[in-house]
Amino acid sequence: MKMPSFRRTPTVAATVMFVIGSGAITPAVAQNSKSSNPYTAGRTPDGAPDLRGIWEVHGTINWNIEGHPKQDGIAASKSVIVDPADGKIPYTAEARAKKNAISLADDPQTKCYMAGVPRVTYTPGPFQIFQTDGLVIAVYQDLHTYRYIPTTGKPQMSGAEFWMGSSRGRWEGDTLVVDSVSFNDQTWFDKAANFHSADLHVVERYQLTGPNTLQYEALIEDPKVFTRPWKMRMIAERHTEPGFRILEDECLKDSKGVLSHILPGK
Amino acid sequence: MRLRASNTVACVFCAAAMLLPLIGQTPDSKFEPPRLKDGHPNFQGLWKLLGGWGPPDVGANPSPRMSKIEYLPEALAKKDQMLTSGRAEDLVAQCVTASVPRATLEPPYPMLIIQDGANVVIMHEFAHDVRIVPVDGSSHPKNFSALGGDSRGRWEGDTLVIDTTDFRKGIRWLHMGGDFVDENEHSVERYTLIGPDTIRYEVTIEDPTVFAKPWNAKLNIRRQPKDDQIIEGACREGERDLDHYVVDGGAKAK
Amino acid sequence: MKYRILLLLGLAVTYVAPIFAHHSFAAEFDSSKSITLTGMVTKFDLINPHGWIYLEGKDENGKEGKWSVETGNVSTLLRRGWTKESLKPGTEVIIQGSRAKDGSNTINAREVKLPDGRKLFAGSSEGDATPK
Repeated sequence: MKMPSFRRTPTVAATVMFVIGSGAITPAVAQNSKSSNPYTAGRTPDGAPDLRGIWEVHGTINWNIEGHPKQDGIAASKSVIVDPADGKIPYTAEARAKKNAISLADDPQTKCYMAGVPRVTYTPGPFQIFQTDGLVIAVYQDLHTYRYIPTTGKPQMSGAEFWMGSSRGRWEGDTLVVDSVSFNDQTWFDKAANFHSADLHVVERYQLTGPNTLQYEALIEDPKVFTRPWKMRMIAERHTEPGFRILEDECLKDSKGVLSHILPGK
Repeated sequence: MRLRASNTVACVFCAAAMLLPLIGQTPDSKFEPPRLKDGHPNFQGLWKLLGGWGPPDVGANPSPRMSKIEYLPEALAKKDQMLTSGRAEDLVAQCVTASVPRATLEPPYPMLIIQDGANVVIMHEFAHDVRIVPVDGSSHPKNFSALGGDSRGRWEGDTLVIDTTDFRKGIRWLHMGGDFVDENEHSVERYTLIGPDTIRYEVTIEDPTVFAKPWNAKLNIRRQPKDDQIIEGACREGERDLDHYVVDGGAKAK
Repeated sequence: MKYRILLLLGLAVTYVAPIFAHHSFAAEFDSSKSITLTGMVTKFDLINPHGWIYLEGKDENGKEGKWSVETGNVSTLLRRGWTKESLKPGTEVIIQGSRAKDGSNTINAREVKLPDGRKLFAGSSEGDATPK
């Protein structure tokens, strides 16, 4: 794996990698070098760049994409927003006031609703990328959510609003670019009530930066809520443990009527 | 109107055309399916069960597509109780999962199949159920239970056989007519391409704590038009019916 | 054009026995209690597991009120040509359906007739249950 372009001694770099791997901090620093050392991905049998495998974004981004201190036993996280440079979501004044008035208890994820895009990527849990001729499928362990991403130039679905939007993919070199529209306004970007309208437009970029690291970027546009487009970036790591697989994740009410996620048992 | 006579003809033609495949005909000569690079048949695409499946198939006069379902006496009593007062517990009514094999059968909705050599992935619209079925020769794991069970696929010639067991404790409805299975369900599904746009689907269900003997269904699954696509099936997010459920006698269901 | 007629007639023929494919029908609605609603749409939610048309109007007995009308799900309606714009607030409609068992103003729709006479099949029973 190529080293980041900023100067560091090997020992410090190894320490950074260890800390990142343990999920203690969000590796915002190590990701700024995306354009300097492109990694050439292998090819699928159909000749497309091969992003297949089981991936996971570690860390606690889902608590607040603008970053948050250690809280309630949850490790701290730095902002994943790389543009604007201050790491803050560029809300309009009206939207910022609206956000501050939202009750955190209204988080749709606590009702076991689908996470939306891009939140599904960094909601805790692995996801699996499948590729077949003209099609990318992402299956997320969270609530067995899947995304259908054709790369054939098929027009977007319109006529309804979807929790996960309508997605269409294309290849730019070794990067999968996924364009998504037709969202509803019901999902959040994190637990901190960062929100959007139904005019949300997301452009994601998936690019291997090494055999086991997938760089993920999401460009967010929503002129009803933000003064300008903004971008987040993070790394997903490949699961290489033998026999690792996506598990069933169902949300069920217990005897008191409280919802919780249930994974396979004995 | 000149259309009138052709309306009648078209109507009869359509009825016949729709009904014929339901009888479960299989072609006389073996169909040579398109193949993936590994040589196995290519099932990929968007599919949907032809016709419905449910009470018209079962009961006193089961359709030719099904063998008779015979319950153990205590299971039959359970079924009656569920129909009377337990509809709100149906995992489909709760938008959790349709499980195996109901996700394929009832109501039905389209399903998307992809294959990567090591897995067959079946995605359903309802409640966005997903089955990632290994076809790598692996066995069912030990000490494992899940709502959707554990599925393992294997090839018998050009037939994909999916064996599912290890279901989580509890009841799962097979359709809204009340037929059900519990954690002792063992299902064997067989998928065979019998034409470019038709999968012959056969499922055998045994459940020693529910049924007196195994039963099976033989159905056809049809390819959806090329311009169609799988559509998001959010369910829990918009569920507004359960509040209106009543049990027999008119009382509100739990 | 001829193919389209055949397709539409095929759909019409296959839509029999709708009750059996609807997962919540028996627990919620009474197929013997038909209703005809005439009213104005206040909101249309094209969602799953069922779409919902909210309207103000009256039933065949002249009873006025606010009504919640259930339709088929997103994929059923989209495939039948509906969109989220199909029933804008203010649209006058006539709806045929079944009443809820719990006495509320909740209806399961069979058919929605638009002001221009077009009928949208409400697909409240998902799938195409073919006649046996």
